[in-house]
Amino acid sequence: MKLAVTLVLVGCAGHATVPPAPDAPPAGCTAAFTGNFAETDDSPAGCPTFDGSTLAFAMQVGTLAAELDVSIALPAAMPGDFSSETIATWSAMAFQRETNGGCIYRAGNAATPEGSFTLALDAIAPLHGTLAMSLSILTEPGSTCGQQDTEDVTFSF
Amino acid sequence: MAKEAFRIVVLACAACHSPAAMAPPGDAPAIPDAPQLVPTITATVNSTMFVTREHMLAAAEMQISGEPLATAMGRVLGGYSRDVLPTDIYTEPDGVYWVDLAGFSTAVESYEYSKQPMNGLAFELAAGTSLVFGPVVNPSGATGSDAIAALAAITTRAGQESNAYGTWVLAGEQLGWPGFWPTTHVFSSFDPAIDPTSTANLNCIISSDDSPSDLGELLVVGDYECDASTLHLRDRASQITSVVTPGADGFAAWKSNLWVMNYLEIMHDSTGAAVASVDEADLASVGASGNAIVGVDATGAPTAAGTYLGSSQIEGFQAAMLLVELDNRAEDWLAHFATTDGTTLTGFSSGSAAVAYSYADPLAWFPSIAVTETADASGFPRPSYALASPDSELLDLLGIVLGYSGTYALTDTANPDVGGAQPARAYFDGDPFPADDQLADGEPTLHDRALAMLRVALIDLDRMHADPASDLLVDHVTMAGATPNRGTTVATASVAYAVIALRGAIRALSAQLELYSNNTPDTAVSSTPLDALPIDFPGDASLAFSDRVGQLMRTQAELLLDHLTDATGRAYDGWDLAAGAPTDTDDTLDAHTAAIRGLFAAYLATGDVRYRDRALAVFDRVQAVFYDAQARIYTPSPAPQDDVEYTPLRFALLQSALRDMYELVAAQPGGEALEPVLEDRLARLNKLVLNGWDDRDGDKQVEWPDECVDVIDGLPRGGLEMAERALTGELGRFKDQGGGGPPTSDREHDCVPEIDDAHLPAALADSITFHVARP
Repeated sequence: MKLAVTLVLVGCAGHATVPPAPDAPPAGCTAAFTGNFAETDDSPAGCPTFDGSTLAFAMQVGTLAAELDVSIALPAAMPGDFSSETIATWSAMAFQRETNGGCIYRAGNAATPEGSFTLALDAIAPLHGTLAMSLSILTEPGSTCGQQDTEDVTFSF
Repeated sequence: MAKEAFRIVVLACAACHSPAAMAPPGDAPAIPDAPQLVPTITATVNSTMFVTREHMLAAAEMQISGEPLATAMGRVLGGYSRDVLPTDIYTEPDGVYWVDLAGFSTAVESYEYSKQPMNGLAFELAAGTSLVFGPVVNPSGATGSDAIAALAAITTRAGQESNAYGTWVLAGEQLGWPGFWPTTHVFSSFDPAIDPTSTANLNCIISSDDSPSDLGELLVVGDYECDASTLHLRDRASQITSVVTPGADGFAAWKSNLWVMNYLEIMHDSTGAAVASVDEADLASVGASGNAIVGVDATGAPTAAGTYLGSSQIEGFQAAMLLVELDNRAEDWLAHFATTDGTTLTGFSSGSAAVAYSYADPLAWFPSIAVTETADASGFPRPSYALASPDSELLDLLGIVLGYSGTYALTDTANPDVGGAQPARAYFDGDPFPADDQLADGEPTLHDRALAMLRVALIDLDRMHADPASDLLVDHVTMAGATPNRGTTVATASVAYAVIALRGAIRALSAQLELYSNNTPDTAVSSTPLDALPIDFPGDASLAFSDRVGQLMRTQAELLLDHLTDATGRAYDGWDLAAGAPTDTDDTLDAHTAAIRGLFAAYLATGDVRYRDRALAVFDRVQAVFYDAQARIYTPSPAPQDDVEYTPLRFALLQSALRDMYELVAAQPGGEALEPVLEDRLARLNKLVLNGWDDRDGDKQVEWPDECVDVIDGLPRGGLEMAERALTGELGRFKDQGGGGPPTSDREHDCVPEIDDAHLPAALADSITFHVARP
């Protein structure tokens, strides 16, 4: 079901309709994980930053005991709908360390498999929108990383 | 009739169809959730027989589903090593490494597994008639030492031109390579039992592809890799079916020319490094002993002095020998094996008569051939041939078409990336192979023999197998004298391969056929070399050869669309022309996967999106009906099933359907959601069905041997793949680098044993049944 949810988001992201005017930004930001593990984080630490060209997340994921770093280079400092098909440079990575290795949660234009994302960026200042991303779960030798090969995360900010 | 051009296919967005079709199809979850109750899967090999036609069909599909599919998955092939332990590792260009079951099982295992049975047939097993007595190699029928001398001169020359001479092709050996047993024709089936040596005393080392020590590594492998003497059938006379068929020869030719195309993509220098091109003035001297030609690599940088044929020493040598085999094979069929009365083997009167064969000529066709062998002082049995059966099988002729389409492309200088490329032209410039004037005029060259094979096979396919009223092809034809009595049925798999083969012929004749271009859309055809020769088609004397081939292809494609599948995605086993109905109402995986393969080929040939959309509908149904999410296995009838049989053909149809879905849908914009689903399914298919590894706990590590499905006397016996050798990491010694080590029977613990322990070649079983025990 998780991919179906992602697909719905993909479909919505492709619509040409004008998104509703952004509400006031939430006090905190939410990151919801589904796949190998389910976790919902709701805190200001989950909010993105934007330096004028790159939208970035750096949030601690409790289940992984690791930080998930996300970086998306936007073509301009303006709201809009974006996806892994329209953005050339993007990445996401977290490394869950295990005794004999670890599990790599990874996506990006330079990653294999590439994974995917859709970003509905409703406002820049303050940042407001939704990011749905699918990451590959890559198993290092000797590690056990669960039954699923992908982990989906949805950021609401 | 005016020349009918094929539509130019625009594949701007192969995945642009309804979002529903893009979603992971069927009722099953996108990726199956972790099974709560995990079945235990074991397996029983029902038959180890090597059935050549089906095996080579599967091997060709496995090659196409190998490196090119991994590349489509985004993998960089240099990220894999067959030697490193643990196995299955992919190292990305940025150094990140991980267990990559989908990538490794395609790029390394499916790909290299596919090569070794071909090498076995061509060079090692003695499972065919000896090339010593091939009609081009030995036109006078010399025997004994004279016969050996003729072939030895060829192997020596091939070794020199590829720079293998003195290293792997040795002066003191009868045919250069120790134990070399090259074949003209391959037997239709045989028991593949062999007794390879377990010694590693020759310091036989392999580092990259087939060229030992190219990269300076020292990985000692079994002696059989450098000396094929112990790879011959254990008791040849009792193991072989002494019959040669167009299908076995044809599909073996398809497989051979796929590899030759690969070997002829580049040349190599005296250090073994790749040479992309040389100065055109130097081309004729490439391969000459002691040449000092300096070429350039893919970056334009100069290469080391000395440029030789083929991609490496051994691959250049093997390419030359495979071409010799293809040439001799064609000459026998054309000059000696064709029959006009169903009783005697007469052959065509000349090469020009064969290449000009038309509908107005007396029917001349390729029957099955009985082989009788007598001992010869050469040490190789001397064959004589007689007609075994005059009857004709559609799949046999399709094998010839596929085989000699690729062969023709290798000789066609108008094909810029195959026969027109320098590495190929260097072979066909008079040394080692005669040059051709590029016309269809019956010269004694591989170019014209390949054209003649295509001409005869395609016209006979029409004259013998096509129903005159509908142009639909039928599988079986019995001959009464020279009169064909057509059956009334055709299997969906045959229809699919008819579309594939007819498309391939058109692509070859129009210089479009390239290595791994099966999923490249076709472009319009104006004329082909065979169109210059009238076919005298009944009722339309102006109809050109390629037009008729196109008509037949589209008719079979429409059969797939209109009758063999429906809008719900249901596919049927076959079509009964007499009844105007499906042959049965069975609901089978094979019908569906064959339909997907054929429909995609029809789409790529014509640009008609109806075929693509139907393929997607059929795929949705495959996922919904034939995938057992609990056991993670596709079943031949609607899932779940507790006993699941796989054959080479079933595996090939399923693997190629998943491959085509990946390349034509998942890898296209908008298809990303399907990528992890298909990678998961391909990885599971390859690892469970080929290797016999049931990753029961889903941890991507082999719990050896507990997770191996077929363990006998403590040794895992693989799955459909019965054994393996160095090309897939079975080095025979434990060390993964530097010298030798203690002997191993399954070094990488992937469940597939080494050939000397299995006493079988690296080849597919004819049948294996997986037993699913549910808790």
